[in-house]
Amino acid sequence: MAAVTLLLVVWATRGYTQTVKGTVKDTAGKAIPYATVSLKNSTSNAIIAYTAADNSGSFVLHVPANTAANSLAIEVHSIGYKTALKNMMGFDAPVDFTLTEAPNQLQEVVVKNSRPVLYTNGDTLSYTVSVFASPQDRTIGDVIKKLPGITVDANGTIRYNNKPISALYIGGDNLLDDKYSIAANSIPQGAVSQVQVIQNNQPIKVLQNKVLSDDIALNLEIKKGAKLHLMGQESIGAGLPGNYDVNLNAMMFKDSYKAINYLAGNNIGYDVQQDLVSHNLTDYNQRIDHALPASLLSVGAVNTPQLAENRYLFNQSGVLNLNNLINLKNKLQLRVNAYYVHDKQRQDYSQQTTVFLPGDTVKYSEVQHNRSIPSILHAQFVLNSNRDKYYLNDVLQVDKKNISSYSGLITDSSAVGQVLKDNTLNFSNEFNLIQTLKSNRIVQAWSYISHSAEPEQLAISPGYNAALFNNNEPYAQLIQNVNIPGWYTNNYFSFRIPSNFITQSYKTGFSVQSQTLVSGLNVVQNNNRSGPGPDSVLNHVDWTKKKLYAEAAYDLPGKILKANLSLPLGLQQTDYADNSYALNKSLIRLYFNPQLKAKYQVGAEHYLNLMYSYRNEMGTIENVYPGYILANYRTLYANSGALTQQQIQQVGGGFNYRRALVLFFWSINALYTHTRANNISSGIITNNIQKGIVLPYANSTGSWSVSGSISKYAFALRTTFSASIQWQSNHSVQIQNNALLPFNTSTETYHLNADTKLSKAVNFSYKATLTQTSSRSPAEAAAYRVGQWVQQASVNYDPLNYLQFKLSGEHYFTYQQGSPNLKVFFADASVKCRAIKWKTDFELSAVNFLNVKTYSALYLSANTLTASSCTLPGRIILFKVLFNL
Amino acid sequence: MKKQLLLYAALLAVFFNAGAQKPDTARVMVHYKFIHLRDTTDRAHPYTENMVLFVGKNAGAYWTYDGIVADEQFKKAWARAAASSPDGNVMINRRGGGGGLSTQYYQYPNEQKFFTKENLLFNDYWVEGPMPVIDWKISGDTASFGGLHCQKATGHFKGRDYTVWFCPDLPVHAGPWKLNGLPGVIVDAHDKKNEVVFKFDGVEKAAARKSQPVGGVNADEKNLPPILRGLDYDPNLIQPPASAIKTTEKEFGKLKLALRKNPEALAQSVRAGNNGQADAAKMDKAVNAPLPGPIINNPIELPEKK
Repeated sequence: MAAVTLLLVVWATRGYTQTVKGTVKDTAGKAIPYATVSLKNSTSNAIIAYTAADNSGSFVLHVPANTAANSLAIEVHSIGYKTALKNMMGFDAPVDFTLTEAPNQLQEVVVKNSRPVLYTNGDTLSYTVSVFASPQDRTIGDVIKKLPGITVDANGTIRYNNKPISALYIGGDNLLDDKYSIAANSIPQGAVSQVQVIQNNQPIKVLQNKVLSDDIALNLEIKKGAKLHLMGQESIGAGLPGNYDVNLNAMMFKDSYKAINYLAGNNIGYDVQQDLVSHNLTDYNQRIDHALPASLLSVGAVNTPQLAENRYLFNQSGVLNLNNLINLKNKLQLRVNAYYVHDKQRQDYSQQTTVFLPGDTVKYSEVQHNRSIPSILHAQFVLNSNRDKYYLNDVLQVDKKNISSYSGLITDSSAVGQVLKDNTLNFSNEFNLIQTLKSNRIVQAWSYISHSAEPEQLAISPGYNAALFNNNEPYAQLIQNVNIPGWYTNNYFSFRIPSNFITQSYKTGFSVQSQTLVSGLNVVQNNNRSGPGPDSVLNHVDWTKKKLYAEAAYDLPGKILKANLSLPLGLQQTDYADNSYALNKSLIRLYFNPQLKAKYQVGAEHYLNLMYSYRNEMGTIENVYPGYILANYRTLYANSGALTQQQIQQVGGGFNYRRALVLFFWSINALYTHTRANNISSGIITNNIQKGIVLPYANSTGSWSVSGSISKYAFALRTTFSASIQWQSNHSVQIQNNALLPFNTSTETYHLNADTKLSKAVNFSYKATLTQTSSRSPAEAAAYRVGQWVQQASVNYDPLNYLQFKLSGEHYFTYQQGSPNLKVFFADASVKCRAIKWKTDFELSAVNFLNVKTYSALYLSANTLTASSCTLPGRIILFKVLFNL
Repeated sequence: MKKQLLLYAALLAVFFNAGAQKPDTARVMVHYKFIHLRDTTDRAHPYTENMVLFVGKNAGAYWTYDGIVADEQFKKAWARAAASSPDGNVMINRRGGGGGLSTQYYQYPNEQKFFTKENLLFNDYWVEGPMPVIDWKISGDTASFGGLHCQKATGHFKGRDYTVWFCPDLPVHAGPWKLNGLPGVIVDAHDKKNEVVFKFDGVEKAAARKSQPVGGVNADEKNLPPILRGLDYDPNLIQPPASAIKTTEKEFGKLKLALRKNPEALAQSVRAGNNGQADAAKMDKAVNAPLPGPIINNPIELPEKK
């Protein structure tokens, strides 16, 4: 009894101010003594206080201070009775329970000795890596793929319950921003204890619990032992025919210093740039409200084969990648990310294109031998300080890219050579300062400035399409030059007023974009004299876009309902001029771009989300140049000089379900996008040239997309099952050869995946994807349909701890109405032997041992059908030595 | 002599002080791997033992599982040896005394009662101690241990900060060792330094005992050779052992002290208490042998730092 008194004393001193009383009885009205009475948070379902009924069945529950009654529920457990739960209405009324008997309540408990594979804490889920890892997994990326609820796209984008993640932290530090494939593909899985999924991740501490974030971040919890010393997984491989694959890396994951540095090179088709992808580039561009002009010229419209890249790539790549982060004592963080890539890529393909037009069908064929030599340098310096009351982030970036491409081409029996030189030099700086004032208000100053230039030159020789370019006279060379140097700056100041329920933000700022587009098409005659090509092939467009904006935003960071409403208003003036075409236009517009996002927590782990946005978008300098630019050897493109204005409306919603403790996840999402534009691009297609021009014709496009995904870990089978389905439908209009063509295109994609750890020695995985695209024009009766089935399966067998076998296969099956089906099968095998004494692994692998050397495929978009075929590298035998630092 | 009298008096007193604890039947067995770093100079070799918590309707009993298994194996070995012995004389050796940790812990959370069953010399003692009271802080972390939905809590007890996971679906406020007092069975616990760990090792439904009594169905234990005594217990029954001598922690402490200080006298008294049945030579050997034991410089219970 003394103990109970003591307990009460302890409680009393801990600030329990309110109590709830009640009784527990059985259906006959008899008191149930000693039942467990728990006070639960009705959203998180977690116990926050508890007591036991006395021997007359009555209880007094002490409620912690500052808890609202309506967020609470009381649960009563007693062995031999069914558990009862009641929501709490207030503190005054007694809560009485009547329990019904359930004699076999504990029958369902079965023998299990599994350690938890997943921990949850509010918004954080933690997966235990060792449960899902198998001996042949090298990097953490290999394990992440198998986690239930998580999927990884072919390009490395990681999704949790079908939503792409915003960042991948390492021990809580953001080393790589959205280039997280670097970590996924280099950190050894053995160094990671847990993979954590953080939902509603707000990385800026000042804004936590004040500003809504629906971002999902991943965090890799590094094992204690692995934190202390330098780590590295080194591999050196050589093989036939003349192949090499080398990867030397050094990593460190201390709390104060984190680094992933590596030097790698290969010619076995692994593109080193694959790890350097920015997975959230669209979000970034939307945030800075600016996208760099895209490259305008290319050597041809090559369809990349729909195979895993290493199946078709001929390369000789090398990369040096340095990522280093230092946490200084005063919570200041310094980071340097830099890489240099050099590559020689080769591609041989032939292609037959058919364009179906009303009453006419245009066909042309191409055979190309391409060589591309990119040399890319990227450097980024980040200074960051993330404190409770203060946030500073400055990112300085420099990008230099030189790409030389050579292409030998035979098109409908004429042979030409193309040389494309593309030299990009960009620099940008982003500055962000957030500070909490004494009055608890938050001020923010944000500034972004960038300069970009991309001189491009495409030379085509000899005398291609003389009829069009040189009045039917033979000539030597055609040279197209383009460059769009430009400055951009965007700055704003914001003021936030947080309160218990709502955070108000007010923002005002301006942006200036200043660009010049210079282009020219020159014809070099046989006597080496050079002069401008046919009419209207020069451009010199000066462009400035000035924008003044103000925005009010409201954030409701509640526990059950989270919402964000932003109401930006902008005044935008756009001026552009090209004197040689007497083009001089100025446009002033007032824009209102409202956006609403809401998330409603239906249960502890399930939520609904909704979004609506209305956005005005204006064309760029690339939509206004009036003179023709030869984009590639068969496309000439120009604009009418009118600026494209688009109104984009988006409505979306979805439901997200998870039951973490049984590892069951599913989600369904739908999005409708409606775009209204005042201009349309129109094309004239002939057998040897495609001319495009922008015409003032108001039109609208509608697009539906519905996706669903489901994932479950079967404990008994030790298998992760996942499946997803995606359906997308577009309604758009095109003008081709002076005919207005409405099009309906729909794409369905089905995925199925199973990954199982049959036993300690055997792993099996199977993956199938079916993609089907159909396209039809209401004007025409016939519909075009193309589909592809891809199946991948692999078996790992590790009979001894020093011997591992792996066998895998990939099957591609493509079908199209009226054409024969296409089938390709690739098979790979490897054997790995561990010399335990030397801590070294030896691996012998045969990639594509059935020696498949060509690939054919069909592509369908709107009314264009492309049949292409390309050369593949064939069988690769490689011997590798792997060791750890 | 005075001390001896006192002991007698104490032992007699507890005989008459009948316990109020109703027998309970285990419904669930929670298995733990108990890991204790006894010797801080040898961190690579902590003490480990498989333990089990029998959870009944309103009580919990924490036992050595290795001990139960060893007893079970010995019974089987005996039965085999007896069956293959033509003259009925069974030759069998038994190494060790069964499990490592002989103390059993009984928690009755409803009545706030706590007992340990200790073995000293040849007697079992039913020792009543204070019910440990731990000021738990419940956190929102949840996890699934062997299919059981659990929640995390932290608390300080006997000089160590424990992190434990409890299961509200098993609403008995019990746990391994002396840990208890959460609204569900504690299925996993470890201290902050990972020096004392009760690692969840599985949960199973308690099943009725299948094995035959070692001496035949109707055999009286008193007629069995000493080596076979004390094997026919049913761990699923959570009740004070019939043969144990009830005492208090204080009295049992005195008894232990007496054993250390005056083993001869204690042996005499115990022999008397057992009606002279204990083997005198064996008793002497037990009493005179130096108390063996591993190095324990890091006991589970640490003095509170002020």
